Amino acid sequence: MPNDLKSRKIMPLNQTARADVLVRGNPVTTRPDATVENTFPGLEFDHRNLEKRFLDGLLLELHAASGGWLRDYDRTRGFPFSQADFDAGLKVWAVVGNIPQLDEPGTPRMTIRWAIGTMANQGAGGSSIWQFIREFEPGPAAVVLGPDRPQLTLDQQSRIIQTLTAGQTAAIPVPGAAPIVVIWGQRADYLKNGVIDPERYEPGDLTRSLCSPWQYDFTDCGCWYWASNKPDMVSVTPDGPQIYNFQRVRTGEIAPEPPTHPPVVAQGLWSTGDPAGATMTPSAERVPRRMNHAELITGWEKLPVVIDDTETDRFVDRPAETLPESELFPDRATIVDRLMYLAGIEHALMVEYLYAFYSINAPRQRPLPTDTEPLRLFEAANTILSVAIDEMRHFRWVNEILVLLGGMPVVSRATETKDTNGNGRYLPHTFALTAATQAQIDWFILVEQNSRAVDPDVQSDTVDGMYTRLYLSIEKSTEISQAIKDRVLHLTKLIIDEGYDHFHRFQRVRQLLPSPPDVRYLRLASNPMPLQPADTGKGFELRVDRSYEVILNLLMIVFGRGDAEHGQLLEATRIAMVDSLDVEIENLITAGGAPLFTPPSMSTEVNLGRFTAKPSVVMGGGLHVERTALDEMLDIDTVIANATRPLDELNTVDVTSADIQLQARASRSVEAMTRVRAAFAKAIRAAEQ
Amino acid sequence: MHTPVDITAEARVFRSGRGAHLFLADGSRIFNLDEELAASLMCSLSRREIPPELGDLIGFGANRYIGDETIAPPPVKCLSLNVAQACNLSCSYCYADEGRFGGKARTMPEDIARKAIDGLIADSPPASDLLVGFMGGEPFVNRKLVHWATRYAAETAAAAGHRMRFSITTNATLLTDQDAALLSAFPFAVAVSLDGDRASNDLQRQIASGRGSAYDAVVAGLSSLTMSRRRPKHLSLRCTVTPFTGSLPELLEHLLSFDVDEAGFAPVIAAPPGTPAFEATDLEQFLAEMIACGAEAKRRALAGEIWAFSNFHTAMLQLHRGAHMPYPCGAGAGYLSVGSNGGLYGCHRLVDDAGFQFGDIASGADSAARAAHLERSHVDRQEPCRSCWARYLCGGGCYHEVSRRGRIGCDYVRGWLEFCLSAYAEISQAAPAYFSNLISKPRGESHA
Repeated sequence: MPNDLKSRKIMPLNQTARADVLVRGNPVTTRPDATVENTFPGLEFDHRNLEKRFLDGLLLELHAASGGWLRDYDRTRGFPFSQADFDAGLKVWAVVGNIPQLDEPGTPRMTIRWAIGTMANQGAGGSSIWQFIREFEPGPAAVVLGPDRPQLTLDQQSRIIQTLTAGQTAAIPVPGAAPIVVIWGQRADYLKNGVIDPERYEPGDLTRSLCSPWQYDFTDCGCWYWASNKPDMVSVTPDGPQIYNFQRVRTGEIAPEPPTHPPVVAQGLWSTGDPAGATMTPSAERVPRRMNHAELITGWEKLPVVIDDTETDRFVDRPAETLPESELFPDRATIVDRLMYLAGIEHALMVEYLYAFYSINAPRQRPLPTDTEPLRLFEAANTILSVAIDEMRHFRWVNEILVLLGGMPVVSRATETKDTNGNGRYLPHTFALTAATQAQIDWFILVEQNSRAVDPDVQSDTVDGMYTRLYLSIEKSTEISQAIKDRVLHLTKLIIDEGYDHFHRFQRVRQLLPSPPDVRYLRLASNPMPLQPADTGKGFELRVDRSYEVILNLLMIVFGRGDAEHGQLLEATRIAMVDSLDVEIENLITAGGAPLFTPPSMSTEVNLGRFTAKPSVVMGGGLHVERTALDEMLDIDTVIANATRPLDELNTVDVTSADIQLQARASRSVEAMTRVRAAFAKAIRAAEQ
Repeated sequence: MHTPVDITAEARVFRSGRGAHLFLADGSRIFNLDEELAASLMCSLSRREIPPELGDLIGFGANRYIGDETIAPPPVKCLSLNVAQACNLSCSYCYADEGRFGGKARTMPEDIARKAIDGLIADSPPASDLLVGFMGGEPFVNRKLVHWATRYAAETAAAAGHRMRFSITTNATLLTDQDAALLSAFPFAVAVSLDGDRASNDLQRQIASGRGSAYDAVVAGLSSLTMSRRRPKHLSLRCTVTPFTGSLPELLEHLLSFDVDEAGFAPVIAAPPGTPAFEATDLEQFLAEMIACGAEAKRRALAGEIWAFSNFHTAMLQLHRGAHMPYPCGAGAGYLSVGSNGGLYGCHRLVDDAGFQFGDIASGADSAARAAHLERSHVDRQEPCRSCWARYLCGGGCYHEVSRRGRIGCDYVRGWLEFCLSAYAEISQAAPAYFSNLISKPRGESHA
């Protein structure tokens, strides 16, 4: 185990510590270094997948029984072999690394492990090679690659050792054959604090060779321990005997003998990667009444759920919820129209949540655990803030859906909810800057309430209900391509699911806040009036509005980029919210004001790649963006500079202000805006390369 | 509790042969740390800042294992009878002043014992585990009452559906065959006091009549108890240590050479005027001697042996369980002691101390006085206890000693616990079977 795996850990030792539910962090079984270190199907992940990148620039395959294979390499690294050598097949001949010594702990020794031997058929399989690599301590490591050869000559062995000893990355020419290649590097550092570095792996990379109910080899799990957190032995009845392996068709039924069928994935294909070598022999199923491979893939959800080591004897096959055809939105245009409405609603909710957050007189830093009252306020306020940040993401997702459906993003803010269906069933609400009174929290709970089980006869058209209706309408739509549906439905479902979480979080806020009529915990009044021009806080009030404008401008860039930067732009926007908007608002409140979140007007036309944002004031002074014909795209730096300009212009004025606080704030803001611009530019440049 | 947390009283980083560890006072929780985290925690603690890593671990308010609220007086389940406030030995250090507690020698009449036992049984919740202890002086000075009360308590408890156990602290010098038979026939935990080898024991303990060696008399009594067919359920040796006792490891070897279940030490803190009691400075030497004994016990534990050093064993078991309490003992709570005149006192050491009287057998235990005692004695309300990391292990120190001498043993207590924490960290990881052995050891159960 590399040393850094051991760092910054706190592990319970005695009984009270072990019983303590508040132990920080995930359970030890969830840490990669604490899992059952094994590659047998069914465990947390397949460690062979973890080690396949143990040397930077090389991708090894360690699953084949025939040995380790080079599957890919970084063409820019100048490794001493040719593409032709690679195409002909390069096999792992040996691996070298620091191995901890049992007799002298702490003094790892550089050790070579041969994967092919000097005698025929002496080679090691991929798993054996993996077992050796996983022991490597941090530090220098090497791999020796060569053509697929069953046997190593003594001469080759001594030349390889010479090259390894010299510490060189080099090719050893072999007359009439591909060279033997020695590559030195640093053993990759995959694990940081027990957490797998997500940069190194693609989604699904680590679990790809595990068995899961929906994967082929689930029924081939032959061991007597199923994954550590899943039962291996189950009882069919509470008092009945425990039975090994629970992949049966149905308890108590006399099931027909399953048909013999060819394996879904040919035997051999997995281990060699070579379809030609695959065995296609049909294999008989092992046990009658156990689901066979094909049945498992098509009906894995029929496996009984195991609770308390006992199979449940029944399950309810609950059909996916649906709506009558008449309740669905008739066409793409209506869907887009509703999404535009919802984008404005998400924006308005985000602002309401933010105002509620700032209205609570909570400490800025987490108070001491013994400070019960301030701690409750701190928790309440920050829970509201966390939902506001989620709403910013929803706001972004709705706009993403809009763009994907061929609509235009909406940055404007709704002023009230509307009876979009004209049937009188909706939650009437006029959006306002309202302090976090119990009544306001009750509204937050109501608006986030789950209505996934849509019952149009009883329930109001909640925001959540509208998303459900959109989901089902998009799913049924014949005007939207499947590729677009795949993206859009996923995002819609995320919004629905997170809404349910918001409902719970706001309930928690209600518990945390003092009961009415005690509103002493509030520091802002509802519906604030703008400060008078002569008020000392007036300068800050303007700064807050400009910061808000910058956030919206940045969001426009995010919408324009889509998901090209994998969320990094949104993260940078969030930083702007914390570094700029948040600090400005705190200053404003200290100076006696309140944030007004005045909707800005947009002044310049910007081509953002996927659409052109064109100023057009609609809906109560908000922003609305119209699509135009593609014109010339501005360069990235200009787009970003335009986004932060409202604040930059103000900063140049304020840094020379007579008000020392304003001056200090402006110079801090200059730094913050520089950081935001840099983060945007870096993310976009990285994505474009 | 609205006072800010004193983090140094909540968390302590300590080391052992296995690396760095964390002790959290609340819940007596023990953790392993890696070096990096240990270093950063120590920095935070030295600055008296709450380390962010511990934010979720340090409980507050309702999440604490030990809150600042006082417990209501629990039912009394443990009663000791001071059957003889008189003794046949004269030990220079005796807190009981040779059993007389500073007053006149007297023995407990049968009717007082009867009323006390009746009261214990009547006021217990159904099916309780009860304990009657016989204390003195030397209990066997009042042999007749010990025999009668044992039988009476056992029978009455059984009839009422309770389980009754017994304990007795004796110098064993007066033991007869009949006494030994009684102690083995009923579930007794017997603690025999023996203070050293013949020379050192007899230096501080003489037979009051002046004839013969006290040591020889104790050993003779002990041998009547260790005869296998008469062996009590649990037999331990208690060695009282004065500043003149000398090397403890050798003494412990000597004590354990008798066939007893365990042996341990208790320093003399509170003694009658003019007699040898420890001063704070002497306790440094005592600590060193105790750690020397503990180190040997640890060495043997790591080698898979059990060396029955009771102070060490108890500490290991308590740390393993994460024992934590805001009081030093059950005195005045679930435990009371009956003086020979029928008064109910906090414990056998506090007999005849008006400040710790909680009623009498005629009117029963005084709940209001016990509640006030528990309110007053919560360790979080004691100074300097409330800022000490060891407070929930120590509980604030023996009421008897603190009321006589103040808290002079704090450095000793912390030093000993520091050693024990470190030993626990090593044994629990290198020889975890120690704890299952200890817990399942038939005679290893502590009764008193």
